[in-house]
Amino acid sequence: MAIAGTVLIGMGLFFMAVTAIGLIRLPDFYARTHAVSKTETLGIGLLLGGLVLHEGATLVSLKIVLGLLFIFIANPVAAHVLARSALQVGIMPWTRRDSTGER
Amino acid sequence: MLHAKMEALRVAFRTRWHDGNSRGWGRPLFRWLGYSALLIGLWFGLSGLLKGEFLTGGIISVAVVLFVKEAIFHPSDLLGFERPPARFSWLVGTMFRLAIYLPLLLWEIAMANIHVARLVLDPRMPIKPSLVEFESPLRTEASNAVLANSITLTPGTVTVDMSAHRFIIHCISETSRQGIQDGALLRRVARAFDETIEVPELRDVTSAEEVEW
Repeated sequence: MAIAGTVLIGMGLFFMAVTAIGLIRLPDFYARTHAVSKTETLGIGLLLGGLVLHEGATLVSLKIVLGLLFIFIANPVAAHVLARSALQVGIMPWTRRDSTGER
Repeated sequence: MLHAKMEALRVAFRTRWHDGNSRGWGRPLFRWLGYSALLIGLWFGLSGLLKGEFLTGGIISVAVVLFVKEAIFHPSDLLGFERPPARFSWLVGTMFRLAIYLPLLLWEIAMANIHVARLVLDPRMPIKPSLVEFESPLRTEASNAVLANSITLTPGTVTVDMSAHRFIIHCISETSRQGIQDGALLRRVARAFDETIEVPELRDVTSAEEVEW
């Protein structure tokens, strides 16, 4: 159980590292939103899942699962509000120029 | 200013109490009792103590949460949504079907996460962002909210705007866009909420000015 938990935590850390790399590499605001709010869901999910495995079936585990549920509801709302205000002030997403030079 | 705010709140509470459209389990008293029971249960589940000061704190918190919730959330039909069927069997059935939906969603999230991780780590970074809109065929507020959150939770797609009839989605690659076009998530949400739908056409949003708010 402890080994499985540690593996999950390690995978969670990998996805969080990908989040950080994506935040630096991706070209514009919207694309970075993907990196942060997305890779983080699985990152946090695996991390907290690993902690639950370490902890076993206790009240603390229940609280961790409730926290996870809260993140899964609150995280997309925050991402949505940020993206919505960005579009409302007129920021258009970065797009790749195709071979004809059109955007 | 403050007086006007308080007056608006009072009117809001009155209209909510004399809510003619709500029947059965959707009646305001039942709704508030349901939320109170849920929140009190959560409070004691988390504190695990039944002492006087905790009880008072819990009741005050629940009252504040309910008050704020009633003040900032509008009845869904004012926003252009249909009301869900106010039947207990529908509520229980939807809870059950959502419990089946959740693992499917988690699987989608895991798969899409690997896709986005691959995009980010690829040296050429083969992303192809696009902004699309479609008319949501879902009718109730809850189903639309679940769809919007599911789309945002699934990596590669972010819900930029969600209203009763229109979704604007930012997709990071062709694969993510294809996922929205196929409407796999949409069909699952519709099944969970027992609604019949047709998968809508996608339109590209090419400038921020053409978007109506």
